[in-house]
Amino acid sequence: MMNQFEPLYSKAALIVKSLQNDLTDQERLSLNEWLAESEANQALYNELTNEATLASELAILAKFDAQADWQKIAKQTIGKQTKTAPVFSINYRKWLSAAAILLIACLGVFQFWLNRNNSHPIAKNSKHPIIDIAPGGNKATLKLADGTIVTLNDSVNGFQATQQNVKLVIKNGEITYQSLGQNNEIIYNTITTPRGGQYKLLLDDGTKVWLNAASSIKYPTTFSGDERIVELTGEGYFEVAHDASKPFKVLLPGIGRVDAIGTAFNINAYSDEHITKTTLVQGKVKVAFGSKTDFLNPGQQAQLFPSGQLLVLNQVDLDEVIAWKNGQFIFKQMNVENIMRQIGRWYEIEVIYNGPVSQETFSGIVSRDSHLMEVLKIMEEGGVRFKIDGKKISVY
Amino acid sequence: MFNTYYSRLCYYAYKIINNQESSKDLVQDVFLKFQSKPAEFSTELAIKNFLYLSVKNACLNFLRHDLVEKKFAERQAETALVQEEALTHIIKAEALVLIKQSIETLPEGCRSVLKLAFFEGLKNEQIALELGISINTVKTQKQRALQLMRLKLTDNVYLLLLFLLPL
Repeated sequence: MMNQFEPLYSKAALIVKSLQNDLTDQERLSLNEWLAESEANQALYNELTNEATLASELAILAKFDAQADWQKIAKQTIGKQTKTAPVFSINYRKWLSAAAILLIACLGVFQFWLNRNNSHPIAKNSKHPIIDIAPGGNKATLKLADGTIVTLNDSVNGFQATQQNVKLVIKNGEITYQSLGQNNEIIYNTITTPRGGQYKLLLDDGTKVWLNAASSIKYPTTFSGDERIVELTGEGYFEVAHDASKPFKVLLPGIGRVDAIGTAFNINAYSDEHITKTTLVQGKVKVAFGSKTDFLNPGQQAQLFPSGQLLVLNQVDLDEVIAWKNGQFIFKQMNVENIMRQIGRWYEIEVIYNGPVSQETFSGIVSRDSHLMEVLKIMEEGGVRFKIDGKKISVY
Repeated sequence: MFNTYYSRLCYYAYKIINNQESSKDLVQDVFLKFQSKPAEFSTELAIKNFLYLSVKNACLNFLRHDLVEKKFAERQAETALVQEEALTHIIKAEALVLIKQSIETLPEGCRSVLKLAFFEGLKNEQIALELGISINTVKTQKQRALQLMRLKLTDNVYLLLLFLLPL
């Protein structure tokens, strides 16, 4: 019964080989026999060997990206397993942050290394609730075109509204826009995340945007004209819906612009990070900073320095760059200050340095749902000391 | 496993049920079910067969909901047709994946051109614009790519019996 498919796999291989003129006589006979069996077989062969039809079928195949869709399925499987993989599901909201914050040793186990080898980090669920600083979550405010402010959080589920023939729906940390018909006026909405917040947006054209903490995005409720333009501050990850006739442009006020047609990329433009980084995951983008422009290929990162210098790095670690969007922090040989700036935004803490800080670098993978202690452990192993006082953390 | 087979299974489901989001959901469900029984399979081939079969059944179920309104006889006929076509879709899925893999092995320049042409469906002018190169370069890169993959593709569709001489 299972074997009904195997002859099909070999037919596929045969067809591709015949395209490459790589058939043995035996194989050619086989193929001819199959073709002679029915018109359907011939039609199939024609489809695969004609440039135009092959291209359109490949384009369909290309729509299904295992990397992109993996996160959805990974989250669902976690609940069923007792041994965990490094990706956690997002439902730990019941953990409380107590008023008295004590440094309680955490019983969860992380494997991390200092500046050296590449053993994989193994992250396990900690089974004991920790009384320390809680992580961020789906929090944001939405400003509608008429100035109305809507608070977005997990209790606002199923909220709907219509503005000038465009419907918006809020569900599960995600806001979706859908045009219902003709639109005469372009109206803008803005989503702003606080420190400790994040949100996901699905624009009317199908483009998906993940917004990190302390960021904002201003966008039209629906796109018209021959460009799609949005404005970003902070950090966002974009999966732009392909539309070659309407380039998608992300404006970074005071910094520059990133143009795309149908691609996936991450922009980190926090004002307190002095380098603005645009990283391309898939497709192609053009970055424009001041008078400089450049094109990026997948895996490349454009870095804009305050001096105005533009640098393009090849093969940056994509996992590290988009870890946030996947619900994780991934540090690969990162120093204390950089780590603290990232986690500061998520845990809403103010970082104070007491004297010079260790220049050691640290690596580790931690779920963004962890309490702060678990993240700090990575550095504590390396001898860095922390003292938490309310929302202030002192680093020694 | 997921990474290897996900796109071809989604493609396969899409060809049967014609709905992009549902195809993804359907295939993801199949993988979830598969996760709960990995020990049963002895070879990767057995897994592949199982995945295709599960997806096919899931698609048929999906379509069945659509068919519920129709008369019994119509339903029978449609189901038989879908079954038959389902087989050809597997061949396409597999062949496309082979070709796609071969595209991924191309050198930088031709690879980007071919990917934009094939995966994004861009025309030569659009590719030239996006990559910042001339249309002639696009054409040359395409040619070179096809040569490297040794794929001989036709521009016109014509009856195959005239094309392949039976031995």
